[in-house]
Amino acid sequence: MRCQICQKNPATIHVLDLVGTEWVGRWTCEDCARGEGADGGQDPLKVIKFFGQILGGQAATAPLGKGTASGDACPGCGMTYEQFQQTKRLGCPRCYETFQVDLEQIFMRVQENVLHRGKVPGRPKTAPPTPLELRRLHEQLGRAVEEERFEEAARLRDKIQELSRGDEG
Amino acid sequence: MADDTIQLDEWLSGRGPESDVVYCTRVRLARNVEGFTFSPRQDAAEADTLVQTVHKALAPIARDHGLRWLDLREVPGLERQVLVERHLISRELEASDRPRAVLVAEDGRECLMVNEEDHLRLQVFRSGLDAQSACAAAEGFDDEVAEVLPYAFSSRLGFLTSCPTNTGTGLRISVMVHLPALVLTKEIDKATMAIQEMNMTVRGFFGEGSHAVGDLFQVSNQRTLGESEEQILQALDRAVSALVRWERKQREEFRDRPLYVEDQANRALGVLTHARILSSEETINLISKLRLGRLLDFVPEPSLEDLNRIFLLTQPGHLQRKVGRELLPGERDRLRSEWVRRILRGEAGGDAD
Repeated sequence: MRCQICQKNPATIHVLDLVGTEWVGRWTCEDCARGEGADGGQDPLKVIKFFGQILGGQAATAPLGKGTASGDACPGCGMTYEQFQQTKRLGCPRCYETFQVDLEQIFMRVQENVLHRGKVPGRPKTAPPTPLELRRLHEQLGRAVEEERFEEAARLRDKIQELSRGDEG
Repeated sequence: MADDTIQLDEWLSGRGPESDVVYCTRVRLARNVEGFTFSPRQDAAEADTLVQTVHKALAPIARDHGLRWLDLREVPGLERQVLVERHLISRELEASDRPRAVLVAEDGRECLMVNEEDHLRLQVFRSGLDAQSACAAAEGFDDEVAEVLPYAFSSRLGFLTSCPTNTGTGLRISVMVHLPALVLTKEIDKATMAIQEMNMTVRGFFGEGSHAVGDLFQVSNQRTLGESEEQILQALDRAVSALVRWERKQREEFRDRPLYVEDQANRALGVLTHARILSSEETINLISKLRLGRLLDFVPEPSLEDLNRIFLLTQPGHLQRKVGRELLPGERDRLRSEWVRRILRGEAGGDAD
């Protein structure tokens, strides 16, 4: 892909501008990114990202669109693509959809494939209590105890016990 | 004396196919439970809920398989170190400060780490080169777990893991090989490159590359996505079998000119028998030389089992557990030499079989 400003050099950098409340992204070459002030010169709200650093590989050339590193956080766990680039670990299963396009490039590089051809697991016969529900209750219980709302805490504790017992039978 | 016996785990039992070259095969499956954030991104409350959910869901399976549940927050440091050295938990899981646990089989043939980099890491060990049986056991174990816990799975990408290098099958097969002849004849770099061309990773079991301590290497599959478990297994089997043949061919060449290997093996035996200070690295290197000499019948003793017992005691955790307390490195080296002599005198054998 060519730089969207000079239309000449290969695009290696994604420049994000804050326009009103919206982030607007453009793919540029390194020179144009500097000209844009992306090195922080004029506009402190401009951000550049060097995609060449994804898992230590070559420059990425992903088109903008669903699942690109547009700065959106994963709705499942709040992880941003930048955080993933730092830790090299995804935050939750939904990150796979959120960062789909970028991940496909990583898969092409490290796995040379983007499709699973192996085992498909069976589903559990008995469903355990939904973990997110239990977790929410645990959090509420913690807050209730902290704020000394003991009646509420007792009610929550019973609910947790009830739910946890529920999957044994 | 019962206290003196040194039991060998599956990975060091020295049995199994191709055991002259291959120590053991380990199969690992990475799995995550649907509805939870991946382990590295959890807060303590969620991690705790996950550990409890897994504990409860797997209790019947643990009973059937004779697996012991260890909450690693309650296991003392020295015991955790021993679990690392038995390869039942990773260094990362040992050192992590989040709620975490492990289910372990006493014979070290299978285990399941909870809240490592992925929620679940199922592992199966088999002596020698036995990927077929290890994979079958791991898949069976996995099927049982899938009956009680819903996995994070996508029909397009397979099992969803915290690191994209495990996505898909979540399967990593690792084989621990002893390649002293390839190292000695300087063929090891060529062999390593050939294996890498077959999309396998080769690294030193301790240390890196051709400087692998004790000529021990680990070969494992690189990819987890786009190939079926069976394809991964067969490719790995092919690669390791080729490596085994190569190593044996190099070993055979020493039969015609035995002097150097025979000398090295006997020197190693001499040092192990008489030294009063032995570091782990020195011991592992001596074991390698002696093992090669033993396998070529250039030295009559010790038995390969005893060499594996010495191998186990080269590890600080095991050694310290023998005396029940932490030791300074200098104390360890002195104690290690004592135990090595004791094993060589036949005073620290395992079960009577």
